Amino acid sequence: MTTQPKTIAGLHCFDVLEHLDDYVDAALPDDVLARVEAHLAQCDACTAFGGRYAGLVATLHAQLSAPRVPPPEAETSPGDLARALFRKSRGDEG
Amino acid sequence: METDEALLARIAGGEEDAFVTFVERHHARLERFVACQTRPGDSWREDAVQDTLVTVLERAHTFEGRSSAVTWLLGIARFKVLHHRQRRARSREVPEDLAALGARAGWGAGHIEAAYELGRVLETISTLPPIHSEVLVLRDLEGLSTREAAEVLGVQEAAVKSRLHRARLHLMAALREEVEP
Repeated sequence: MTTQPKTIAGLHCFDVLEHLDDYVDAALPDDVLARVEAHLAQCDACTAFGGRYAGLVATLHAQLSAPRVPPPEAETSPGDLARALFRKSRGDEG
Repeated sequence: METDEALLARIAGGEEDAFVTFVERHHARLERFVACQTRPGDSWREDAVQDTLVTVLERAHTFEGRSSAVTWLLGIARFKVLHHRQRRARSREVPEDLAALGARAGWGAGHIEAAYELGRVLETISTLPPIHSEVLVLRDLEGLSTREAAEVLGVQEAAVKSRLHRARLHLMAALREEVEP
């Protein structure tokens, strides 16, 4: 099943798509925000897609708060790598 | 905790422990920034990380604090990635019509998958064109502001916003095409 884009509340679906990034990042001016929300209230396709888009952004941002662990395949610790590079740069490796 | 700026000043003065601390603090971020722009099997991934760190050693004295140390570090890393990838061959984007891109990303599709799995998302980012992967990593994974990302990328803030929007849509499209080729 597919949906045809349409104009609702004075905004075409593709205009909503254009504004989606600023909508998700809460960066829309109030007047545009009101029009986008009026469109979303009546457009299932944009609501579904916008929810999916916001979900992707939230998934990416969740990684920001996740603890940073070294990748399991790392053979050399960052500290050892730093020491090796430092000593190599000073010409006293080995 | 000693600031990055203080560490860089001591690195410039030739102090090994400052460099070790700086690398331990930022290595995971640096590695992820590079990894998200390389494909499995790219042999130069580790070279780009190490080249970046060597440049930090060599250029610490040039850090003036006009941007954050992270912005400075990722700017160097980006240059190294581009160098290894041979920049001229890679980042000419032919902008896709937004409506067509939205359709590829799933607008109007009857079925939309319920949730994203982070591991798959990260893996898919590494398959995107660099012009998209780098802005996604800087803004969405590293949390840099639009202004900071613009500094790293050497473009205007408006270009960062535009690229990020398209990058997110491209990522959605790529994830969708993995499931429904």
